Amino acid sequence: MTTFVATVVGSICFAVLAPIVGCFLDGLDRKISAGMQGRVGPKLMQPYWDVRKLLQKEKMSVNTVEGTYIACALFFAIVAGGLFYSGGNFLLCTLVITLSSLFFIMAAYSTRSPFAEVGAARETLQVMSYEPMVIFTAVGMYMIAGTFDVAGLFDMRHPLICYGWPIFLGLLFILTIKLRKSPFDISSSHHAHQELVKGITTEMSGPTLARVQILHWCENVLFLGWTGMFFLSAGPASLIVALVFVALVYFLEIWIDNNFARVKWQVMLKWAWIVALVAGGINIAVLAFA
Amino acid sequence: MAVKQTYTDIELAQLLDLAAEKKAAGYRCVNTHCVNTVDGVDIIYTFVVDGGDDVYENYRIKNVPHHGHIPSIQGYFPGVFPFENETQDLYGITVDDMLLDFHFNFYSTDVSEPMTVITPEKKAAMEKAAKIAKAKAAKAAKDAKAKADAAKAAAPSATEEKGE
Amino acid sequence: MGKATIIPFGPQHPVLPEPLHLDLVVEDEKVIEAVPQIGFIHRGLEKLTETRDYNQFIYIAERICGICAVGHSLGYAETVEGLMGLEVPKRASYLRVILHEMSRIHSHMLWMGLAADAFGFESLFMHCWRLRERVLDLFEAMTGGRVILSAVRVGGMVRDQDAATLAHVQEVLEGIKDEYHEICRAFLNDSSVRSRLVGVGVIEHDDAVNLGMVGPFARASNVVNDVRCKEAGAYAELSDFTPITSTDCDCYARVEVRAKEILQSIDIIEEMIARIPEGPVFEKPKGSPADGAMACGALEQPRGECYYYAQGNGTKYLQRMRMRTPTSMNLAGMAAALKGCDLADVNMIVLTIDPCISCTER
Repeated sequence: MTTFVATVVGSICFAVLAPIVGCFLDGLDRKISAGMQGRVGPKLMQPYWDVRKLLQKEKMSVNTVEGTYIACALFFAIVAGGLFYSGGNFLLCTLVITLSSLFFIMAAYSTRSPFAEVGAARETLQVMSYEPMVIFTAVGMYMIAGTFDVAGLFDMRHPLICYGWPIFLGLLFILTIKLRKSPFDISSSHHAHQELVKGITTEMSGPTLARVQILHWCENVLFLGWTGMFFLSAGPASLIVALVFVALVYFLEIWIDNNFARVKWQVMLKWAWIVALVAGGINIAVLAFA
Repeated sequence: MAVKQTYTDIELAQLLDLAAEKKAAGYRCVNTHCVNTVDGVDIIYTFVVDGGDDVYENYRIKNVPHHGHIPSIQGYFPGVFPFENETQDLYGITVDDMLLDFHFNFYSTDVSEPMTVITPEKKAAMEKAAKIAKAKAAKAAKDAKAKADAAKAAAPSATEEKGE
Repeated sequence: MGKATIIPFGPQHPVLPEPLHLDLVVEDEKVIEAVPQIGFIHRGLEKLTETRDYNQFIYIAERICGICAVGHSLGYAETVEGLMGLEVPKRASYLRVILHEMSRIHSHMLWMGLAADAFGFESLFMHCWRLRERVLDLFEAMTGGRVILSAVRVGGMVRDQDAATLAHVQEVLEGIKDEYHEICRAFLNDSSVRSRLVGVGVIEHDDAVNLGMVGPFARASNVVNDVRCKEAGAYAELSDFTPITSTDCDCYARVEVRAKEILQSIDIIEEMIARIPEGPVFEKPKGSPADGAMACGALEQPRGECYYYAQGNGTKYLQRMRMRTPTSMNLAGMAAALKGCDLADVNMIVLTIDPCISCTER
């Protein structure tokens, strides 16, 4: 029962705090990218103004079910975040966030527009690319920590990274896919200048698109949390260390985004699976037999 | 640019043979375009061979009747489909046997055959120019007649003098 | 799976620089067929010769397209000068070549930025355009305009450029070279860029010749086709000119050809500045083109060979002015390259012909 209460409380806190943190991270991303490109860039709070503007727009959906699917996607993303940040079951968290992605894909398919359908197909391929590594991460975590509960990490003497660094590297690789950054931003990037107009979010506008934006913010906060999880331990300063590494990883992702062209889905699928099998497979084999 | 250029008038019946000949000789078709005149539409084809003499050879078919038909050279030069469709859309000349035919919908203009439309201002200008040319010709004829009369008047007096 | 869908690409699409419509028949992200449709920006500019005399029409010719503005004003002026038998002062023809080659640099840099954006490399796009700004600043210093210059008129140039300005041009272009080499390295050696360009949109040499392709699009398929070789105007004064070609025939080759042409243009400009003669820059045209007189001209614009034809009718209005732009010749090549490509490659292939649809449709 307490797990359920903790999850609910965690989800409510996540629902309030994650959009704020996510918005700030998005603004930071745009400002740093602009600096790398020799531009001034937008204000730090620009993403907030963008979402606010979107919320004020007229509802112009192709159908009513699209908004429902996006609302479900956002709901399950918040639940996944609540699960993770309340110290709950990591495996359940990964499955709930995948459910959220599936609702997002369904929303795009429901519009029956050619660009959205191709974008949704690509998003499905993206999910297929990163899921193996995510599962290996959960497995690796269980084998090292002995539990799927994130709260259990605070009882460990050494952080996960010590015995799970290949899995961590694999997770970093697919983090680029999950954060929708070049070279793996094939279904929808921050920029509309790509072959599919805006891909999966082509037919989404106004309040629906605002919710998609908030969904991406929540996802970003969650996935960066997964990265930070590798540095948690019983030590007093582990939380600080985790935050420092999360910041470094985020900066690395921005750097990668600015220095690579977008690849095609065949390349993304191939490399994500190779990395998952090599990094995840070797780490798990070592943990199982050593 | 002042490139080397030649101009030759040909008949419509010679067009396909010309295209075949140029294709076999390695020429490429640079351009096809039309000029609207009162007597019909002149169509000009331009060919050049790169690395050869670099001469732009222009062949003109004069006075194709308005709403007439011409054969397509897309069989030899597929790249000219925009120009032949333009000929149809803007000048109203039907081009037969095109490989890529947009059936008068390439540009989808509001006015059909817009390049053959002679606006009232242009008509007035043409009539004025024709009037001036006519007056000039009449004056020139009058001057020539006066000169001939004067010469005639001078000649009989000379013969009269001679005759005396 | 296996069902064919039709994806309407354009005319409004963020990746397209110009309005072009393609109905892509797609099966599982593979394009079976693509039929181009243009006509969204037809303005009937050629009919304006009836109401604008041959001196005024140059402003219309310039505004056919923003990127090719210098080229069109130059080609038009030289064709009309040929029609009237006018000899332009040598200094003017040198200045024209300098401006035209600078226009080629800015056009190719614009294109490289768009190509980088099309394959998702936004920062490379921003850097290309940042360098291009310096060329536009040069245009502004020389002529007062950044994009549409109005620097050429029938008979010569509108204004002369003094030695200090030409020295400044040389200095800025030299300064661009180092940063430009960095950008070239990113374009030509980066693995993710190569994965999007190599082997994409191949058009073999024979097909390129058959379809009558022109410009860097054709030269990338090893078709040696460059009006600058025909030695007309001040291009005849160049000590040595070899068109840049490639034998790879794919999108990567087209990027390579354009990237190298920028460096070649900088060299041409430096040679022209070093050898520019003194003298006047304008010869006032007298009278009007004769009735029935015809003249044609050609110019190697950034996108390829542009053909001009002018016919006079005895008045100050031209009977006919025709501007055949390079993109019209390349449309057939584009349609051929799109058959059988991946959906992700469509925008790359469309961009590699460097489409200037506003020029095509006038």
